[in-house]
Amino acid sequence: MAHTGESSALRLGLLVFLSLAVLTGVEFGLALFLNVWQLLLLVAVLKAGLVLYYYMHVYKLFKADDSPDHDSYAYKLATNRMGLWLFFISDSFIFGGLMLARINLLGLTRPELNQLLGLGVTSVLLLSSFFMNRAETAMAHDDRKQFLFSTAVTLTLGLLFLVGVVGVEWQIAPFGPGDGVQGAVFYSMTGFHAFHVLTGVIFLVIILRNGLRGRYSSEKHWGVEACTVYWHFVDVVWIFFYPALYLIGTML
Amino acid sequence: MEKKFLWVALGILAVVIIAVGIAGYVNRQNVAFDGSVISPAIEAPGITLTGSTGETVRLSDYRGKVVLVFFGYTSCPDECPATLAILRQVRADLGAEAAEVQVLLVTTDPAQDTPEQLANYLSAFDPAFIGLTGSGSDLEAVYRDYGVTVMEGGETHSTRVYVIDRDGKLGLTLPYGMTPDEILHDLRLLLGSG
Repeated sequence: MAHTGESSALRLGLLVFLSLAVLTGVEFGLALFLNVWQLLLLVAVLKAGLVLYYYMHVYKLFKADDSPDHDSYAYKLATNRMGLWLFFISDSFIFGGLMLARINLLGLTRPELNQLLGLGVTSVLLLSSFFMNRAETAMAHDDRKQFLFSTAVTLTLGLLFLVGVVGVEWQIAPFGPGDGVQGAVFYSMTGFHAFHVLTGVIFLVIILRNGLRGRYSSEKHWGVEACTVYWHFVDVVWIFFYPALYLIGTML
Repeated sequence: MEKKFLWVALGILAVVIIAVGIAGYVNRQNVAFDGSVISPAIEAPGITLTGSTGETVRLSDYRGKVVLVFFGYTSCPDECPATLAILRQVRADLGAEAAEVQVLLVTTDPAQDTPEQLANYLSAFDPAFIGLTGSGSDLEAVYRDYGVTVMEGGETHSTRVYVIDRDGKLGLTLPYGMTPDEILHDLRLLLGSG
């Protein structure tokens, strides 16, 4: 490899992915053998922490550019980041509200869902996060080929997630959106989330197209960064929604 | 960066392992039953009566199973059929584990409840339920041991189900009004599958 910085950054991404995969396995095992919601929450928080720090680079927010030149790319980048994160905070209120509704309405019970499918779509989304991180890392090191490949894989996995949730889980669920509380909770939570994934997929199509046209460079690729961070944000939401819908409590 | 991350990952692993250990320990210490807990559990008073099968039935015959003892009579209008219907539901929900749970109905009206009458009545709920009757003095002894008061005609105000664990210990009673799900939860804990 020509770019030693890149391969080391890619390896770090892989390590983070492996840790997330192990934690997801632990989470699933905990739900099976020791269904204590506090533990599942702890694992979810740890997973979210890993994603926030290593995949979403939340610390970059605090590296605000204090140069007086407000027309500089660095200054704009800093304000763009701030804007994106403000959007995440406001978006979190929607997901937080849905989560609170779920906790109030279902408590320590959960909808009757296919466990294998739940673990499957979660793995697909996790794997997509890994490739999203590869895409961004590659672009940061001007590795266009790797960027295009990883973005395409992320896109495919995102579509696969949508097929798994909307195309399969919604069809085989033994209840409809109008069937009482569990229907309302399940379809609104997965529906809101799936819509965000769809938005991310559209975003991925855009950066793939721009990437093919050579519009990004290692210095200037805010579009790629925004898409990446957005994609991981949607993944963080699922880190909490997955145990809330599939793992905690006893099945209805 | 990678070296630092490995330490982070090890730290996370340590946190999870410690938390799981604590949770597992705490879980074992105070198992949360929905029914009323008798702590410490007492040795279940022995029962030797005539079963609806026609044979002599001893409580100790069911050592290794979870036994639910209920007091009632076949012409009982309210609590008895309601409780038996709930216990049937619980056994149905237990699936294969139902074989590990034995329901015993001790009659409070031996004049009416012959073994045949009990068998007939219980088969309408669950053929695996066993009714128990016996001589007046044998029954009196069981009522006394379990603290059950029986009035004329078999009427009783004792509507609890006595739960005896696999080791023959009485550590839990189910008050009237518990839902099948709550009872199921308690039984699964006792069966070790909760």
